[in-house]
Amino acid sequence: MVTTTRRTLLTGAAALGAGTLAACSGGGGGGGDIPDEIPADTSGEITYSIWDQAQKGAMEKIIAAFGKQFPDITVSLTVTPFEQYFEKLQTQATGGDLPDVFWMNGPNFQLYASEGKLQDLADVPGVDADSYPDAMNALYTLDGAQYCVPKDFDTIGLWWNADHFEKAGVEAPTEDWTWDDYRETSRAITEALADDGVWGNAGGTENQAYVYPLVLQAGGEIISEDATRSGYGSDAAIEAFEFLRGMVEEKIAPSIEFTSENKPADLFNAGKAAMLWSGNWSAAVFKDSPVRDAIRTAPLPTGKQAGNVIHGIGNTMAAEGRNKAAAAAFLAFLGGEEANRIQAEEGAANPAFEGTAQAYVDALPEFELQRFIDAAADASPYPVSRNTAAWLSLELEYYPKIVGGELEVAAGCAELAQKMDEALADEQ
Amino acid sequence: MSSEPTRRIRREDGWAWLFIGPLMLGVVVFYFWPILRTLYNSFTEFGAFGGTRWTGLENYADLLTDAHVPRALLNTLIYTVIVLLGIPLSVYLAALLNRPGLRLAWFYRVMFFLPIVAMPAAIAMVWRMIYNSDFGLLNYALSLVGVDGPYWISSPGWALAAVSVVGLWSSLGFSIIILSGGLRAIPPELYEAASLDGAGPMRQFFSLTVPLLTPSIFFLTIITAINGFQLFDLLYALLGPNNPAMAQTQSLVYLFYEQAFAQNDKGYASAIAMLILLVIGVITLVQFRFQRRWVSYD
Repeated sequence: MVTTTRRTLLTGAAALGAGTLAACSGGGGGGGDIPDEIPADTSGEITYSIWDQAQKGAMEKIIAAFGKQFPDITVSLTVTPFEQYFEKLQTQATGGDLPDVFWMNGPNFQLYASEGKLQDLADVPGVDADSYPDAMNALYTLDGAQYCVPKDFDTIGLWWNADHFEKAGVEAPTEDWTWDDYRETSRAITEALADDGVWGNAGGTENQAYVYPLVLQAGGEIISEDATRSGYGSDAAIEAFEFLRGMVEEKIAPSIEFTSENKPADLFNAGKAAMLWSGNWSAAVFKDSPVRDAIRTAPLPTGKQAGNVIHGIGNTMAAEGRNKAAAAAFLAFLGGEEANRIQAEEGAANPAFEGTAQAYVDALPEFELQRFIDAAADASPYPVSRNTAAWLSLELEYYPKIVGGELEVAAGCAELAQKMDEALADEQ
Repeated sequence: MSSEPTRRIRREDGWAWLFIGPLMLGVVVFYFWPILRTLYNSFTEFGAFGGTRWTGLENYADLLTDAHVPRALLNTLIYTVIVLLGIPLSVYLAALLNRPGLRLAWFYRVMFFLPIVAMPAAIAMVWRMIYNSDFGLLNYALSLVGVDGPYWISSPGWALAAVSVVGLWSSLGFSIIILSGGLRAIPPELYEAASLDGAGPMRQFFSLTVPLLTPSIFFLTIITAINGFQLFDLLYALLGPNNPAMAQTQSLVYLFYEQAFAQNDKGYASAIAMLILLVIGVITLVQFRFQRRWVSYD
């Protein structure tokens, strides 16, 4: 099991950080205007930016609870749709007008942290990284300093439809399923339920839910620990893609053209596929599915070893805010037990604060969401680098070519790895 | 005394500037300045949060070696040519719609005009449903005659054609409006004279209507070509960034968007923007050069 703990990631980052990168990461750590203890009569107006309309209610409740502790601080909440969120944030950062407190994600984090736009948490009183999963802390740490308080997290599991399994007469997934079990069950269901137009598995080329766990399970990595080399050139990556390509070729998974027009999660949600790899975020969608009663979860199958990816949103504050004391007070509150409990009770997200997830699990007992929380212990952090977006678009370009058969698997992986290496070299 | 007229002209000059001023200011601030700025940026490496570093011709060197660029240029050209085919079709449709005594003319005009008022995103939503390989209207219709339709918007071989057809369709309304205006300006006496001379409807259409419409047609060719080269929203909304056919279907502006907003490489994106400006400029210039061969203004 390749588990990147916080420490190993930090060692890699520290080795890398000493030289060129340190030069451009200044500015974030100052924080001279945040007192060691923030008095309860701190006053002012601060802004809080998020991207998920579905979580607006929960965030408003948290703001109200915060108001009881700091009655003189006013928090105004802004929701920007995810598609525009980071374009807008970038414009705000360029104009020196970032929101005081805002949501951040893995792929964008290092860009903002390395340019000194985010506040080093070491100077924010009341935040204790020990309360959150190691991998989440690692995701939001750069060159030894942590900049975001983990808000929630998700891992990947196997979602399956019990009705389809029963109708096809196959065994339910077990804790120790292998890739072969998954493929042969897919085959059996696809063949048995061909007349109903039901696929054994929903296919697709999702990176986080599908490709990343597969590569990890084959013993590989997406990006080296020091974020300088691509992992796509390895035998493990080739093995993972051959597994996906094989199922499409044998027609036991839908073609990439098919899943481009009919998203895997939609297929599963509509009862047109018996198995899907997806995160616990799908619970919010599948609870309203027409086939909800048949939906179950299981751990991911394993290849050479177990492998899973953890990701989540981080709360962070601007390094150069106007009212940093008030922002720091709010950020600390967001990371605290009460705010996380509110998130769980509202069913907004799986809270990152250790021990507050019970309400989230209890809300949808038949989905057994506890297994997604348990999976966090051994999950690898979501792979990122300084300009993750550059190679994310390479993934979008190459995955379909490889899985769809336009490029031969080994050649396609080599080409993707080479292009990604070039993108990573540009970051230095 | 002799300087009096000059002074009057000067005074009138002042008034002229006063009236043009606000408009000029807008054009300079919102058009000229960004173009100059983009030109400057194209010679720099542009930081994610502002701040530029002069890199000379590096971005342009990258442009020459980037395999996506010729592909995108070709895609954009193909799209533009297909959409331009809408103009002859519009001439024909406009002539039909403006036939004297046509009943329900207002109804047809509204029908043809609707695509212009609809947002490209909304149009794309509807066409996505039509094009859907397994549940879409088009492949259902084809299946009735025993044809197994392809993945229209997800396979590299078809996606560009599928986007172009929608582009052509949504450009018809605007073209028909412009051409209808042109048709109304043709004096009816000319047609009377033509029929007295024994010209049938076909002869009248080709010898009278079309030549007299050439100024409108010329205007449309310019506008349609410029719009064609700016293909982005329709492509983005119809295919989406996760589409396996996108790499082979992307347009120049899509490439620009990718570099500027997905990959944070605004310097290189500026170089692509300059290329788009250059291509549109050259094509428009060529069209103006050739217009005297076929456009009649009398």
